[in-house]
Amino acid sequence: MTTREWLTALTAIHAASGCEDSVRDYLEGRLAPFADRVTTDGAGNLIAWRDGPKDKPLLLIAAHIDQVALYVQQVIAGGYLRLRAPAIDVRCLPGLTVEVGGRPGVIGMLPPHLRRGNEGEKPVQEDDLYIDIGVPGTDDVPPVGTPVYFRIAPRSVGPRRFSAPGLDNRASVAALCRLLEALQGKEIPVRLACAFTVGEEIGRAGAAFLGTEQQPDLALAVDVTFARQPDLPGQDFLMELGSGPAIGVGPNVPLPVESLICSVAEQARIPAQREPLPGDSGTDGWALQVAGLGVPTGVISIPLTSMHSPAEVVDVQDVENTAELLTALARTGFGREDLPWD
Amino acid sequence: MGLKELCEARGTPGREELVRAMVKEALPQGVEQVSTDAVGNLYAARGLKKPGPRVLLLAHLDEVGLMVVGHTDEGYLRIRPAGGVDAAILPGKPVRVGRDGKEGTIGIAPAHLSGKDRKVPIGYEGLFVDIGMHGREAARTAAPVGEMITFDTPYTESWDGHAAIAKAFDDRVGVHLCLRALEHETDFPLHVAFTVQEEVGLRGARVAGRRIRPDVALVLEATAAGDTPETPPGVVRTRLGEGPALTVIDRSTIPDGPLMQSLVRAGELSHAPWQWRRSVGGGNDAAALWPESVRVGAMSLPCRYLHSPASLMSLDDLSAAERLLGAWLQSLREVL
Repeated sequence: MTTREWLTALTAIHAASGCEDSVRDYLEGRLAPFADRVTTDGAGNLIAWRDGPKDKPLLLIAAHIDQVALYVQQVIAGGYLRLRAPAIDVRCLPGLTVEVGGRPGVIGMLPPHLRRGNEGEKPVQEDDLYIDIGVPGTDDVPPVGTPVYFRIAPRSVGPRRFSAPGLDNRASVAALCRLLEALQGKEIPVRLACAFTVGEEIGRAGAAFLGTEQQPDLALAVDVTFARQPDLPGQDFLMELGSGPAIGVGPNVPLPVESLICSVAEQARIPAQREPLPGDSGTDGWALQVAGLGVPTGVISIPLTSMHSPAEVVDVQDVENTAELLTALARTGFGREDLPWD
Repeated sequence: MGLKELCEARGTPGREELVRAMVKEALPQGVEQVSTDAVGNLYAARGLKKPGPRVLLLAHLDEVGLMVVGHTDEGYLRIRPAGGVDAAILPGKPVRVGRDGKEGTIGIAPAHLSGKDRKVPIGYEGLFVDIGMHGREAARTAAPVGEMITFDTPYTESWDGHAAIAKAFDDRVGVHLCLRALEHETDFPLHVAFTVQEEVGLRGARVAGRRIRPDVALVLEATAAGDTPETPPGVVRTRLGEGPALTVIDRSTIPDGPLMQSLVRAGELSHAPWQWRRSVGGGNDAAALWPESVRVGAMSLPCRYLHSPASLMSLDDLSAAERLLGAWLQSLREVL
C-alpha cells in the first residue's frame, strides 16, 4: 500500500488510550504477511517480529497506537452529554462533529449573543460545552466514560500534505508499516521488533512495560513533533513540515545513538532535521530509556501542525522519509560495541 | 435533488453560482419560466396564466462562510467572515477553499505550546487556513484574495433518521421546500425566488420583490432552536420536533396577520404540527419585501447551531413543513 493509503486506513480507526483493540486487531491482520510472528504482550502492546539468531542485536522500533479523545462525563436533561477533554485545547471544540459510541453528534455551546455579561470575552471552557446526538431523552445515550472522537474525514491538503484527526500517532504507525513492507524478503543484520504501544497519551505505560520486558540493544521511539505554524511567537526553532524526519538531540538520546542515526541518514541521503529536546522528549523514548536496566534510545519524529486538534497535518513525504530512515537503520544494523555504555 | 446534495453544495454571499446552477438543474417539470437577474437571484414560476394573487416564495441560496483576505510568508491563508461567523467555532475545523473545493484545515496552536494564550478567546487575527501550499506566491496563486471558503461537513442522519447534521441548513431547507412547492400545479401564479446575499444584508430579496411585485410573499427559512442546555427559558425561540415555526414578529418585520392565520389553518388541514417563533429578534428576507407594501410572512425550520460548521435539525419538522406548505398552496385561494 502507498503511504497515503496506510494513513487513510489507519486514521479511519479510533483508539483512545486503554481502548486500543481496534488498531491492534487491524495491524495484527495487516502485518502478518510481513512478520515472522505477531505477538501481544501483557500491557497490550502489539509486536511484529523479524526473528534471527541471538547473536544479532535486537532493534526495537516503537510507535504508540492510542490517540487523544474526549470522554462523556455526565448525561444531562434532554439527552445532552457533558464532556471532558484532557490534553485538548477546548477552544477547537465548539461546532465540531464527533462520534460517540458509533453515533454522530455535534458539540454545542450557548450562542454568543446569549452568553451573560462579558462571557464572550472569556475563552470557551469544558463546562460551556455539550454533545448533542439528536435524541430527545436520556434513555438511549452512551454511558459515562464513553470515548468521543473527532468525526472528520481524512483530506489531502495541497499536493503533499495530509490531514486527519489521530495523525498523532498514526503517521508514525504508517511509517512502521512501510518499514515492514520494505524489509519483506530482505536479510537484515538485526533482530527487529516493531512495537505498537498502548497508553502513551496517559503516561507511556505501554512503553515502560515493553522496554522492561524486551531489554533491546537499541530502541527507537517514533512519534510526531511540533512543526512550525503561524501565530506561535518565539517558536521559530520548531521543525519544518516537508524537511524530513526530526532526529531528537538531547538527554533522551545518548550521543552514540544520535551519531548512528545521523550518519545513516546522511549516507542514505535522506533529508532530516535535528530537533533540540532539552528535556523530556514527550515520546515513548523517555520511558524506554530508563526501562529495566536501561536501554540506549533514539527519538525520530514526524513534524505535524495543530497537534491534538481535529486539524492535524503532516507532509506525506516526511512520513515516507521516516520509513526510509528506519529501513536504512534496520538494513545497516549496528554493533553492540557502537552503543553506550556497558 | 435531496437535502443532502443541497447542504453539501457550496456558496457564500456573492459566490452563489454553484448552488444556483444546482438548483436550476433541479427545477421540477411544470415550471414555465426560469430566469436570473442582475444580482444573481434565480426565479422560477408556474401557473402564470392563472387568475388570482401573485404568490412569491423565497429562500436564499447563500450560506455563511469565510473569505481569503491574505497570505502568510509560509503559504497559509488569512481569513475573515462572509456573513456572521463567530471566530470561536473555527479552530480545528475542516474547510473547502475556492470554487474547485480544495481541501483545507483551520489550524490551532498545539495545546502543549499555547500556555497562557488558552486563557483568551481566539479571534480572526489568530486564525489561518492550511491548503498545503509552500510560500506566499504558491498560496496566492492557489487561493487568491476574495476566494470563498466553506465548511466541509458531510450530511449525516442520526437517531434513526429523525435528525440530521449538516452545514448550511440555513437556508438550504428553504431551497428544498421551494423546490417541493414547484412540483405541484396551483390555481394561481406561483413564483419562487432563490435569492442571493441574504447573509450580508438581505440584498437579493430587495431586488426580487421589485421584480416580481407579488401580492403575497412567504419566506422559507431556518431559525435558531433554543432547546439546548443553559438557554434561559425566556429566549427559547423554537424547539426541535414541534414542527415548523411561524413568525409573529421579528427585529425587522411584522408579518401580515391574515397570511399567518392562513398558515395556521393549513396546519390544521394537514394535521402538521407547527409552533410560533417565540422571539422578537432575528430577521430574514421578509424584511426586504415589507417596505414594498407586500403581505409578507415567514415559516422557518428550527435548527440548533446555526452559522456553525454543523447544525442539527429534525427531519420530522421538515416533513411537517412540507405537508403544511402543500396544504397552504392547495387552499390558498380559500383561506386568504
